[in-house]
Amino acid sequence: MNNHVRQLRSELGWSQADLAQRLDVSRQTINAIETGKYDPSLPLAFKLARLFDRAIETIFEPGEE
Amino acid sequence: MSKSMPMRRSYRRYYREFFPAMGAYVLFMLFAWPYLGHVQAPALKAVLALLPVVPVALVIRAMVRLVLASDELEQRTHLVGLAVATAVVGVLSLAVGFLAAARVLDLDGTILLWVFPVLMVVYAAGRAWANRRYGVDGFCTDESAVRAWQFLLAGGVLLLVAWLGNGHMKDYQVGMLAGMGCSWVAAAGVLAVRRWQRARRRDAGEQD
Repeated sequence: MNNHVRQLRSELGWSQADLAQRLDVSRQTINAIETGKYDPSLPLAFKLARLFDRAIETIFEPGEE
Repeated sequence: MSKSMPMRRSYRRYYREFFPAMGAYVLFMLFAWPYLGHVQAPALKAVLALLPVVPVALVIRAMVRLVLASDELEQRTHLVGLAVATAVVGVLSLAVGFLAAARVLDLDGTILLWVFPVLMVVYAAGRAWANRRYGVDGFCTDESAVRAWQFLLAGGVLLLVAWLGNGHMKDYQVGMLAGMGCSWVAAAGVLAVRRWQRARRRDAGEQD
């Protein structure tokens, strides 16, 4: 799965640590999501969508299988 | 907000619960356990022999609370670590048990004392392996961090106790303390270098 988390975060001027604190997860988890090494659960993806005020499908999209 | 992240509350609680319990265990094993041989009453002997289980149970409680408070990726890596540890220790226990039953190995019940330490070491290795798959440097995460100076301090204290106890304690106790102290000092060095490297990468803009 591909995502635009890094880009959206940068637009808001937040560091990974800032975003991690807002989502109550570790900074390493944010890094793993941004680098595509970990796909978040639906609840966490929805939290991200709410935080960025975007529809979830504009943040995450299917990658190559 | 700053780039660095303060240690999360769950980790602060974990260290607050873990270190006193582990300290109590080490102190008991070093200073009380050697006198168990002088106790004659079976009931008192049983109570004293079971006393180290109390701090270990508190350590396990702290670990369970930490896992429950972890985020979803951390819980996944904990699960992988526990699965690897269960598999490895299970197979090892079976193999050693069969060898003992066939009288190839002459073992007594004290071998069971190794089950928990081996479980923890393999669990840590399994979790480190899982962390690498997700690009996490488990040795110097923001929250799980025991700072390098804390490692150095703990190692220094252990070496000091070993030095002061030389001549008063048994050789294996001095050796164990000195070995633990050196390991902690070495860990402090590795941790400091890894953190310095990470800070340099971050300054170069690779992380954020």
